[in-house]
Amino acid sequence: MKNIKFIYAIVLLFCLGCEDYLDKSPDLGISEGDIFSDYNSIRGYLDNCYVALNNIHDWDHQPNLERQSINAMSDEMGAIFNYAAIKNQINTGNWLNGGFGEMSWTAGTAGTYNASVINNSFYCIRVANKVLAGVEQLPGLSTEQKNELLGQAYFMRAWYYFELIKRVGGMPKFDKAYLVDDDMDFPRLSYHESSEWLIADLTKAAELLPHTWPESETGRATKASALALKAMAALYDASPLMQNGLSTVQKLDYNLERCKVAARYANDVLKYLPASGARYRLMNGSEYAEIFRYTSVFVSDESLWYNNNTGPMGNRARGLRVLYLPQRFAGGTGNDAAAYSNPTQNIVEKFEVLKNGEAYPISDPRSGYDPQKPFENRDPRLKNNIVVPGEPWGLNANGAQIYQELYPGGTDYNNATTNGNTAGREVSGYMAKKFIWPEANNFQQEWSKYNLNTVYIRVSQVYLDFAEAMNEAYGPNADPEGYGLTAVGAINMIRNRVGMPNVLQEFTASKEIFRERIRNERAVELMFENHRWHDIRRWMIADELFADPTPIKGLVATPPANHRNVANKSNLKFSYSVKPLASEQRVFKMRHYWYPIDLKHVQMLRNLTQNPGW
Amino acid sequence: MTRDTISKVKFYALLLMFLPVVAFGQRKQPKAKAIRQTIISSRVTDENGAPLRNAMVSTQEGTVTTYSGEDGSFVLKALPGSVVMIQANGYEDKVIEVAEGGVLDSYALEKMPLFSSSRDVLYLPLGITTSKRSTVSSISSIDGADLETYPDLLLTNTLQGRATGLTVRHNTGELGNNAPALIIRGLSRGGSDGAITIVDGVERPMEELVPAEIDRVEILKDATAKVLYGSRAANGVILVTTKRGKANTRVTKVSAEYGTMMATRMPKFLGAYDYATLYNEARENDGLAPFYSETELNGYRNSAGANDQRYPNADFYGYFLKDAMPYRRASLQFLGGDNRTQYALVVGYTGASGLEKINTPTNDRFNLRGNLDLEVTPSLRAFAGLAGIIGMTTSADITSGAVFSRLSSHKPNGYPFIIDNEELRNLNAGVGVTSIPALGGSLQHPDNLYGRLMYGGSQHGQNLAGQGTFGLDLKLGNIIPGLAAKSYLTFDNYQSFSRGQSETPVSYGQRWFLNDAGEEQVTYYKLQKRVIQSDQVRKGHSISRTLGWVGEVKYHNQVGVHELTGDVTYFYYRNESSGQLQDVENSNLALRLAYGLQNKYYLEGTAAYMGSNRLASKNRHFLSWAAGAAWVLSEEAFLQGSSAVNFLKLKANIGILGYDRATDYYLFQNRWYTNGTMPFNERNQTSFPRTSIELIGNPDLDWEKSREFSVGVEGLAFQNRLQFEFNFFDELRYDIIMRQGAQYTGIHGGLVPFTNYGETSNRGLEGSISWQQSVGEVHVKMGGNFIYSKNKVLKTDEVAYPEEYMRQTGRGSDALFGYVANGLFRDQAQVESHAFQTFGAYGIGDIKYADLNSDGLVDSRDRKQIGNSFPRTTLGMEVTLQYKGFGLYLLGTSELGVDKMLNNSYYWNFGEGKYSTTAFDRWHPQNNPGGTAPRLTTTNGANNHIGSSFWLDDASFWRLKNVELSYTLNTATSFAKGYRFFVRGTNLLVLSSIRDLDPEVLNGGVANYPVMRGLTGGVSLSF
Repeated sequence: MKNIKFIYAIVLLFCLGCEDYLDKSPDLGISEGDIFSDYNSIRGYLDNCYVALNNIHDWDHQPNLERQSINAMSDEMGAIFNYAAIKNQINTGNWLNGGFGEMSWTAGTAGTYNASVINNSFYCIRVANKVLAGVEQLPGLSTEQKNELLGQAYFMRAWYYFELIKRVGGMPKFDKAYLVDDDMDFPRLSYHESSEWLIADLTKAAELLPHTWPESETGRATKASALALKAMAALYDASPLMQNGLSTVQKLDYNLERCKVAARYANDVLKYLPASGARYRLMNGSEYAEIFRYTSVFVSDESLWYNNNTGPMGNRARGLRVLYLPQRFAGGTGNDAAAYSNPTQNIVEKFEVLKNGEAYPISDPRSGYDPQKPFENRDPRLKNNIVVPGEPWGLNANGAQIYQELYPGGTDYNNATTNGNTAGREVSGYMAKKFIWPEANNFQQEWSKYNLNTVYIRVSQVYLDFAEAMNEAYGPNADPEGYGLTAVGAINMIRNRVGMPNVLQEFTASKEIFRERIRNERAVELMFENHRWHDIRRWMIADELFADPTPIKGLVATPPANHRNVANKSNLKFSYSVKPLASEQRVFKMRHYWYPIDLKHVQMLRNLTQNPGW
Repeated sequence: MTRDTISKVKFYALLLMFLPVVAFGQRKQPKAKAIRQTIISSRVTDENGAPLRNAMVSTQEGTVTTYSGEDGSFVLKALPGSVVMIQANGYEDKVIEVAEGGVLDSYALEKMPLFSSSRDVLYLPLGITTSKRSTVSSISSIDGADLETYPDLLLTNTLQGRATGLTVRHNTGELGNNAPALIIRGLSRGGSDGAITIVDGVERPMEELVPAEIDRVEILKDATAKVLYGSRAANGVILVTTKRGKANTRVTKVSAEYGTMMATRMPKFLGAYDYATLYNEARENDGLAPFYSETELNGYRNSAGANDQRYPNADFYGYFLKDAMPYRRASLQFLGGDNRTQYALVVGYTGASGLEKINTPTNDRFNLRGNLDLEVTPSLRAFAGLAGIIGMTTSADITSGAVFSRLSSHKPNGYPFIIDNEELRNLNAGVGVTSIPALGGSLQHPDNLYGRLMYGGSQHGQNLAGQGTFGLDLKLGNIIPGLAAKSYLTFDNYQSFSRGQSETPVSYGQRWFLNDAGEEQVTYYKLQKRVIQSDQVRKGHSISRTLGWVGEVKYHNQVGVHELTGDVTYFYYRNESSGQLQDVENSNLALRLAYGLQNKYYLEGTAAYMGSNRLASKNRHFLSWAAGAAWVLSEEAFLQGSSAVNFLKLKANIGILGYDRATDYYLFQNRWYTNGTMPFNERNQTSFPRTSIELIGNPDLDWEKSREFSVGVEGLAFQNRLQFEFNFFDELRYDIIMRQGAQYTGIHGGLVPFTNYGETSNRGLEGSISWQQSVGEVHVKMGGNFIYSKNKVLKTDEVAYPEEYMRQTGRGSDALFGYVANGLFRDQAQVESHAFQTFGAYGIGDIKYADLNSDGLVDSRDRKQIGNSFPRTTLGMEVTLQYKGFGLYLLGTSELGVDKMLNNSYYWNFGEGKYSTTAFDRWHPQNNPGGTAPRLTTTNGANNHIGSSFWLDDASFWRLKNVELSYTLNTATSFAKGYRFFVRGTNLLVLSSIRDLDPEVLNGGVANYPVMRGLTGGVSLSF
């Protein structure tokens, strides 16, 4: 009977109803089991920690710092770009409310270069924890593979934890890959306790990591990276700011015992480097510029821990244009071209003057410093780091020489003052040179002539770390532990290799006097490398440096009246004067020594107490 | 069901589409000459034998019609074996087969309770029907013919104001691409609140249908109606039923309409002289020297126009846009059938061309639909529906959106369109390549709009849609009385393809300088190279196909005063679309039981077992349920026979529905992916692949649910003149799936799983009321509908900031947050004494904001709710007047209690942007001390251009949406039986406190097409 067939058909329809047709399409997704079953894929997961490394030459390296770097938060640089968060929020002291860049816990997409450092720190600590747990459960790994994975994971956990605590102070130990419903409301540890934890990680990492990687894997953290970071972290732990507890911020002294530890760790690095069999060395003076930019290979011999990833810089031109080049050199009229960093007179004044084989600070009358010939006989690193008014810099489209014209009436000066993106900001008169080359301009377009990466720790920093720790622990000239090098000796190594004489004898008279010279040396040597901001915080001198309402100074190089008709601008006879840059604000009170804990986290985690003053 | 099966099914469907559907319809056409007609004569009475006058008696598919006289008698010529139909209001239709032996002396029509005849059928999803009388839910419906009064390219645009509970919110968009948002009963989720549209039993897009195809549009709002459609329906359903043939009723109708569409409100921008003067003022405000010299200002004042080489002054809107654009529409309907076979064939054409003068876009669409119902055996009926849409568009290589954004951003003095220099003209013109004039441009806008439209290439789009439905309807009364079964299969295919040519004309910037002789001279620098694409290339394509499958067993029986209905339905829906890795798959198994007692009490309950492929297998199904009751009070003794109240019904229903439409796939499992590479190696050349976790899954993820309750009253009063319905609804959407990103810490690395967290309540009142009356020969019907709704976010992902006013929780999901502006700073003392504002540099003439938390800083923690973006109330008002053959129809629509931010480039004049006429209102101490807008600046004016109450305005409006004036002429003698002439108008008037731009579509004319005022006329003929 025909009708019965239809009934069957309909019944069949219902029967099909609840079976497996709602299953997923086979095209989708890899499972967690797949990842943690194989050396390559687990390493592929760990490598997210490398991708997330901060790149100081990327134009937007911390989202919404907007064409500036944290150098412009210290006294090294000014922020000429009107729309920079640094200018509008950070340097006005308004750190609590912004979701931007340096202070933000959330800005950007975590796990990419394009996220704030703190956001990435939490992400990468989790990645490292997940790998640490996963490696233990993974059968079939060779000891070597296991050591590589564990060594890098411990190193990365320590690195990102250090990035975190140096900004916000002591944190709980994050030793597990937390999920959202885990209890994360732990009490904060003191800075020292936190630091001890990361140093323990680095001790493990140093044991597990190789001296060198095969060529194809150059760029991964090595034993030298772990040892150098350990020394750096120990010096931070010994520094004045880090001696503060969680409830107050006050001016304190170095912790002498921790200085001794830091000195020991730094000595370990210096002893290890020549013995490592790797390329590490303090490069000589004639190679000084090549420490920062390299031809052919991607890393200089002085780099101990660095970011091998150029990916984020994408078009390298953009980072160079935005961070270092005024409009004419950068090309175009938009934001990218208008923004550039503006090295300050403050930092230029730290370069000593050479006179009769000795070097003096410019304030010293013996230096014979002539404010009308400010660039004569200065520390050679000034010429390496700064383009001064009228200095030849690159060729234009017709192949003719062009000059830096950041002086009143000059082309670059006029561009900056009339462009809407920079109007109202005062230029310092200087242009940063340390990382760039003259052909990297809009006319010659040789943006890729050199390689450029972010170096976090290089050999000369280890000497500086050593000197600072030794001086505080034992004084300028003592070596009770038999390291074979004193604080003064270490500083002189750094100076001598660029042709600077030893520090004046009289400056090594006491720990306190020599401390100022160490700090000056550090400012000069590590200029623009994103160190000074954290240094003036840990030394607790930022509030004094920025006590004046207009603490940042620039140089006004007034050219002669007919300067437009002079083809060779380097022949111009400028008259120089120093002036405070009223547009450069630096609001810095005691509470600003620690970054505020993100509001949301303070509200959610009762034990994660807010830093004092926020 | 595999993809292969779907492809096969699709193949057969396409094959079938070419079968001439019409042939079935014409098969039964009698050849009048060959067969002898008989004259039949009889009488129509009611159940008691009393004569019924004015009953309509027709035969031959309605082509022969007469009416019964005073004594109920009628005389009609009919063919032996043909069918005669008798219809009268309040009575069930009567169908008579004319036997050889003639007809009976009289026919008694069965009196039906109000709202329960075959004309009062309401369609529910999946082919389930109910009647207006017995339904326990509130369903508003629109007659398809009513939608014809509003000429538009898209069907959805015609719905505004016509149905209770439906809010239609217009957007700006390109020609034919401006589909509105359709929201039923307010914002029930607080995000992604749109309703779904169902066309003939399955979820399908409706915007490209034409009104001629539509029988009825119903708005399903209550749980008892929506639950049948499963897990995608909780936001409400717009159910479209296309026309099917009716036995013994033939409709042949041809209609043509032509008219013009004119822009209503367009933004007005300044000419070159005014712009340059004010730009200098902005520079002065920024402490900069004037940019334009006096000579230049004078030059602009005396400019020769857009192509003045030195001092261009272009009126972009006037230069590039026409005042009006044509609109065309035509349709052919051919419906009818006998008791065995019914057919419907509708062909429609809709076309328009755009406002752009150069490379005017066009949009043409053909719609074809055939529906066929066929009796195979007395107990088996088959039905089929096939529809095709062919759409064609042409335009310049850039979208209209891009054209309008350029109109509203390119400055009047930016560049001359054409550079008057023959030498440049011939540059770059190779052999066989059109020589084009040199075009102007500027560093800011190197791409000249004139060149882009004229020489930039073109785009051609094609859209093809095919929809097919095939089904069987089986009466199983011989097994169990009242039992029937039904099954149908639907498959749709949507394809779009575009091709075009993108070219770039060369453009030059000009640099004017003084030469040694002190004369002005110009040099040119190239901004854009000429790019020629010799062939058309594919620009884009997409494909989407849908399979639906419905099975149903139904039971309906009336035993004495008991009426019992039962339905078991099962449906499966699957959609696959290009670019989407996972197909949408849903199923729903529903059992519906309805019981009626004495035509007075009705109970209905449905249990639905919903399935979704978006949840983990343990939670893949959800048992939804809904129940309702209705009580026809007017049947009770105390109201029966009341002269005032003709019909009164109370109804209530409640239910809990699952909802999965807003949920993404596989949120329940950890998801990893390969995530690019990390380079190592000394030369940075070896790439190591990386893996990353994308999502931490939540295996316990469960369904989002909607708990809904509504209660209503409806009735007829005063001799059926007053019709009213009011409903109160209270909905709670809970377990909304969201990511609690803000509420979890970042310590776990930002990997936040999705959870069933959100909660939104929504309640409101809706209603409609209408009055109809005949006064002499004038017939008047006037009425209106309204909905008032207000929702409240009960739980959402946000940080519990101490400042209560910052929180979304406890406020409407449409709350507009912003700063509270207190006018402008008028002097330096005000600036200094005020709390520090952290958005950017500010001073005199800039906006002053309230420091709500009194912490001495105005920052992101000083934002509060300053308005709301969804209208609290929407209204529709309709008036119909008929006098003899003349008809007048008026539709007014309104949104009340809604705010908008006036923040587009018309209102915000700053930086290097174009200045609109609102720039005249800026404040300046000397030039315009009475100004109300902030001072001008060439920076981004960060302090002023943020969301604040300064820019907020009440966007409530009342609009005369639609007017139709018509004249209908019926004659029996001429070649057509009926003529209807009409004139239609749309968007004729709008009242609002926003006067410069359209309050409903603020970006109209700025970012895309403006609201258009239509004026059309046409004729429709019935045969």
